[in-house]
Amino acid sequence: MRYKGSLRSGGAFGWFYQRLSGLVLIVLLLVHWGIMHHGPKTADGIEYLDVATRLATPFWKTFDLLFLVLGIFHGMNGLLMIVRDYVRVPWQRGALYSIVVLLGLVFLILGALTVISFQVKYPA
Amino acid sequence: MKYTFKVYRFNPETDDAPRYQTYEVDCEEGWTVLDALNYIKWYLDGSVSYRRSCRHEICGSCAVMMNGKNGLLCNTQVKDLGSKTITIEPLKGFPVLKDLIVDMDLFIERLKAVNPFFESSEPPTDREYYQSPEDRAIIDDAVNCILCGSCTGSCPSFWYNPDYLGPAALFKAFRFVYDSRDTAAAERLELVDDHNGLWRCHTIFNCMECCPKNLNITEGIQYLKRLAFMRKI
Ligand code: SF4
Repeated sequence: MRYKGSLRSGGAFGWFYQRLSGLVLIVLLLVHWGIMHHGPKTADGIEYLDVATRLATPFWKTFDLLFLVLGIFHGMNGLLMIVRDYVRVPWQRGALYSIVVLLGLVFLILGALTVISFQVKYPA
Repeated sequence: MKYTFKVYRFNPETDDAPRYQTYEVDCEEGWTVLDALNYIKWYLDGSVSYRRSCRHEICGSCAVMMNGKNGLLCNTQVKDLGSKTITIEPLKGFPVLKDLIVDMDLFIERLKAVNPFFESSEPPTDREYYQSPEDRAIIDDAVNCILCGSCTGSCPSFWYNPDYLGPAALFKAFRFVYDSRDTAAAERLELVDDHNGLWRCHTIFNCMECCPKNLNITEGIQYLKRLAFMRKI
């Protein structure tokens, strides 16, 4: 039974996902920041090869994929929540939902393609 | 001590827009804002309208916004507001009927939506339903709610979505879901597990900051969220 004014049942998983992914993202972010700024570098500072060789390894590919997937869905979930909060006309809400989901998927695919297919290009 | 009271005035039947009217009141030591408003109504301007009844923070009728924060007129001392000018406005999010009086129908309707009454599938005996002091302690706060509406009227999620159940109704749901004697927790959880119910709460904390009974509303709602999630897995 729904009460008058009920929007839609559910929301528990979105709520839980936001908390869980938030926690994991904090850890991933700290590692990302640490390795990007304080990781291995040549005498001149961080160069393409320092980053590229790392990004080409399976471990960092997995790490970045996880980062990407969690980040995109965390952001998408948050945007959907904001739309749900502020847009009350059903068709406008539906349209914005679709845009958010579409954009999320596009960025997800773009990001995944980049991470998965990345190879080091050694300077000639 | 002299204080200036800026009172929100609006009569939807005759006025195009709300305005603020200013009154100077020489307040005695220990006066509550209700004392000052009574003084205004009785000696300065009989047309100012506001609700009040018990004067002892029991009835919950005098909830308004004072200097931007909701609370009861009767348990807020003038000097505690910390300024010489005190702005008094109606609770936000509810339609204004006149001046500081708002239409609470929506509030009551949201409250009714969570079945705010004790339900038990156990047949009554000739004794009372037993509840241990420990079990009672869990819902102590929620039982003390006087339904003043300060919390719901302070919640930005409610201002924008009057369909949202609001903190008071969710807190009432918590009160019965966590009552060791009540057996209708599943139905109640089903009711509040809604995008306009539990999940519209974004833990803003306005509710518990303004609650005149100092009740931990946000914690109650968080407990409900946890339970609503746990029963899904
Ligand atoms: S929880 Fe506090 S603020 Fe909300 S209605 Fe009850 S007494 Fe008023």
